[in-house]
Amino acid sequence: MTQSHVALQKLCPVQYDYASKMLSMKPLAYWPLWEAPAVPLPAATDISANGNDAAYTGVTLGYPGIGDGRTSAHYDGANDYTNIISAGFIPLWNWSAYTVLVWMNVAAAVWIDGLNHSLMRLSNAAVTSIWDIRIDAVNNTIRYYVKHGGAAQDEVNFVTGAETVFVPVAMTVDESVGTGEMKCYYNGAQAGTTQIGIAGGAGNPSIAVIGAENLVPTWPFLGQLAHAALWDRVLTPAEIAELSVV
Amino acid sequence: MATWHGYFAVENINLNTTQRQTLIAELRALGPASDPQPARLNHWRTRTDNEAAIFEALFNENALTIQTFKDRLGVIFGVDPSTIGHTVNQVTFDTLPTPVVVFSRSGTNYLRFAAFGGVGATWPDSGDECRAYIKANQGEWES
Repeated sequence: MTQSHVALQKLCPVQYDYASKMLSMKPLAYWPLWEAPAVPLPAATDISANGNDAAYTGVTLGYPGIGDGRTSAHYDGANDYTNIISAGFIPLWNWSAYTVLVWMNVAAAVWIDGLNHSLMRLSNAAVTSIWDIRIDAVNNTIRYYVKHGGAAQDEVNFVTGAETVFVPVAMTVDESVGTGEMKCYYNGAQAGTTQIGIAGGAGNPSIAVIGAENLVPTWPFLGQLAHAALWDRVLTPAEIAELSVV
Repeated sequence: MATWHGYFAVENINLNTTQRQTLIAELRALGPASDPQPARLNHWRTRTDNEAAIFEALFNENALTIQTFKDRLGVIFGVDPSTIGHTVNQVTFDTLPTPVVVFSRSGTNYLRFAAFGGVGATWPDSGDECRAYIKANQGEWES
C-alpha cells in the first residue's frame, strides 16, 4: 500500500474504504457512480480534488456495488450513458500520460451477444486521438484501444474468463517513455503485452463518456459500472494491483 | 393515470423534415418532469441515419395509444385524425410480441411506432425486446 494510504487507514480506520484508497493516489477525476436515486436528480459526483461532476442519462442508480458497502450504476445496453465532458474537465486532460480505471460487472449473456459495449471512451473533436475500453463483439473479449495523433492505433484484445462478478479494468498510456507505451490490465494483472509506439496525442477532449461510445449513444454498456477514474500520470503495476482489490 | 416504464421506437417513413421535428419534439417532452431514477426520465437514442429513435421513460400510458398518435399526426398534418389509418403487426424480437403500428393517410405510410414488449410489459422485458431489436438491426443502429 502507498504510505499515504496506510496513514489514512491508521488515522481513520472506521471511515477507511475503497474510495479512500483511490483518493490517496490523487486521481485527476473520480466518479464512484454510487449516488442513490434522488430528486433533484444527482450528478455523477467527481470526488477527486478537481470536482468535475458528470451527468447521468438513463442509468439506474443504487445497484449492488463492488463489495465496498457502496452501490453502482446500471447501464441498460440501449440508451444509457454518463457524460464526463465539462468545462472544468477539458483543460485538465493530458494525452502524454494517463491512466484509466473502472470496475465492471456483466451477465454471462453480455460476453457472447455479438455487440460492442463501451466501458469508457475519450476522444478529441477530430477523432484523431482516442482511447476506449470496451467489451468487444468478439466473444469473451475486452478490447483496449488507443490512437494518438491520427497515427496507427494500438489495441489489445484480451480474452477473459467471461466473469460475472465485478472486475477492475485499467489501462495506462505513457508517451514520455522512449517507446511510447500502452499497458492494459484486467483484474489487477497485465492483459496482453505492452504496446509501443504511442505518440502525438493532442486536442482537447470533445467526447468523454462512461458506458457508451458517444452521446448517441452507440456501443451502450449493459451491466454495472463503478469507481470510474482517470489519472494524469501512469499508475505502476503495483498501484493497479492495489486498486484491484476492495 | 396508468404509467409504464418501458421502451418504444418511432421510425419516419414519409414525414417531411418539419413534420418529423414536430413529432420528435413532442415525444421528447413525454414522461415525468422529475424522478429519482435517471432511467425513468425521458431519454432517447437516435438511429445513425436520424430517421428513427428509441425512447425510454416512465410514460403515461395514454400518451402511447394509437388514438393519441393519430391525434398528434392530425395536428401535424392539419387534418382530422379520423382520416389517419393504421395497421398493427406483432413482431417478436426476443420472447414477447411487440406491436408494430404503421400510420398512413391517403394510401401513404408515414410513421412506424413500436412499444417493445407491448405497453404493460415489465421494464426488464421491454428492455430485452428493445435490445434484441437493436441487435437484429445493429447495422443501422451501431457505428
